[in-house]
Amino acid sequence: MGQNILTVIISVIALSLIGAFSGAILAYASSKFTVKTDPMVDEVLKLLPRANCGACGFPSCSALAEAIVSGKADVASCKVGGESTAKAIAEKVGAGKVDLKEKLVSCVFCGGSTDKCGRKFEYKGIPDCFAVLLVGGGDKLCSFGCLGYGNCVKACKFDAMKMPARRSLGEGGGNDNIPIIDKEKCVACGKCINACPRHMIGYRPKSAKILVNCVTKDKGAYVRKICKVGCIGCKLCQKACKYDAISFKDVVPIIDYNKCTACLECVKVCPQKTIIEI
Amino acid sequence: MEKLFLIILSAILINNYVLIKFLGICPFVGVSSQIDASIGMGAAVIFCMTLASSVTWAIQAYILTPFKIDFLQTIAFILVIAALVQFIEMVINKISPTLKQALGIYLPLITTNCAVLGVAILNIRSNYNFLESSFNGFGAGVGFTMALIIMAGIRERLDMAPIPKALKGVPITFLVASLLSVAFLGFVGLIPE
Repeated sequence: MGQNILTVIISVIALSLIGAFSGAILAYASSKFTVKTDPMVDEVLKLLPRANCGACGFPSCSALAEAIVSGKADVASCKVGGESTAKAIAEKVGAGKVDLKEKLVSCVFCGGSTDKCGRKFEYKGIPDCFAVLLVGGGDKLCSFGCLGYGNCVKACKFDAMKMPARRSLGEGGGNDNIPIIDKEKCVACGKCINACPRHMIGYRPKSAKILVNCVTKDKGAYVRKICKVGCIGCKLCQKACKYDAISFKDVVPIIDYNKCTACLECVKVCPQKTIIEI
Repeated sequence: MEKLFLIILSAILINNYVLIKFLGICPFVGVSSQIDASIGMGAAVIFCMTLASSVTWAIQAYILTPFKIDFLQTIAFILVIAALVQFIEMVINKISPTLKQALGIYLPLITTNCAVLGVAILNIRSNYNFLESSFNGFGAGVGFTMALIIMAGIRERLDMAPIPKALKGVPITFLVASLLSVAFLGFVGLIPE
């Protein structure tokens, strides 16, 4: 009995001593080895979304916070946070002006779903846009349009992209196999744009009402053969536009969203339904 | 000298703590989705295991054994390892922000890793002396890192592979882990008893 109690006492003392000793070392270390950080960085970091998406060009939100505090980055650098974040940060660091740009969202400029744009062959390999591209330049007849293997969807960190399931060849129905972007969730971080091997994802103003849903550089006659919604370069839209908002560089029209009044005349005249209302 | 070499080799290949002894499975599955992350984690584990092995050996030899309180081994080791990792983190934070960035969040994560504790306890069970304990800890860390990096490499490829829906994600990872483990069984017998 006495032996047991002695063991208990020794255990308690030994463990307490180890604990106290470790504690003392830690306490000493925490005062000796403190690193002074600017409290402002933490404050700014709290205002940032902390998604670490990298859209601002810095590897993480904390890196951006540091850059903002040290004046190397603009207070409105965070694309994700947008206006409210920029204002809050400006207030915190005491910057006067907030230089805001118009809110952009990503956009997949292609309407060639399986029922509208055919395929050269049935691809059964790795479901990845880059991999498909290696096999005869992709399985899609159109060499500019969306391949539909969803690299952009995988790259999206904000759950803003969805890929409607692909139907088998020849099966009718609505749009499939072209990513849908939720413009409320999209923060224009550019991850999908970089992930697309065909470089056919781009930005559009969030407020845009119309969209040229094609990026082809092929001639009209060929486009008409392979895709039901491809732009054939007929320039009817340019003629229909009363506000001089449509210009041409290659085949597809370019819309100047500053001039566009969303009168939808171009949408009405487009024979291929390439220009669509959104 | 030869014994130390054998200890390291054994800890890396024959008695790999993850694939043969099945310790530290949690980070093995959790941090092995990308090679970069697994290298960071591996470095932290090597660092931590080596130090923990040495310190716990001293605790055992100079406190637990003389006072005949060996049964406190587990709790004492946990306490010491946790404090040690915390201390190292503070020091690194001060002297090398670059190293801190590299090890990052992994250092506090492995404080209570069972592989670290496992190495410490197995060192005592194997009656290793101080130097042998440290070397075993180092070898175990390297073995852990190797397993982690192999796994991460395989998983990065798995992302590209057409895997049946039911097996996607964790199930296929477990299957791969078990196959890796079987493969490592081939090293048993490398060192004759």
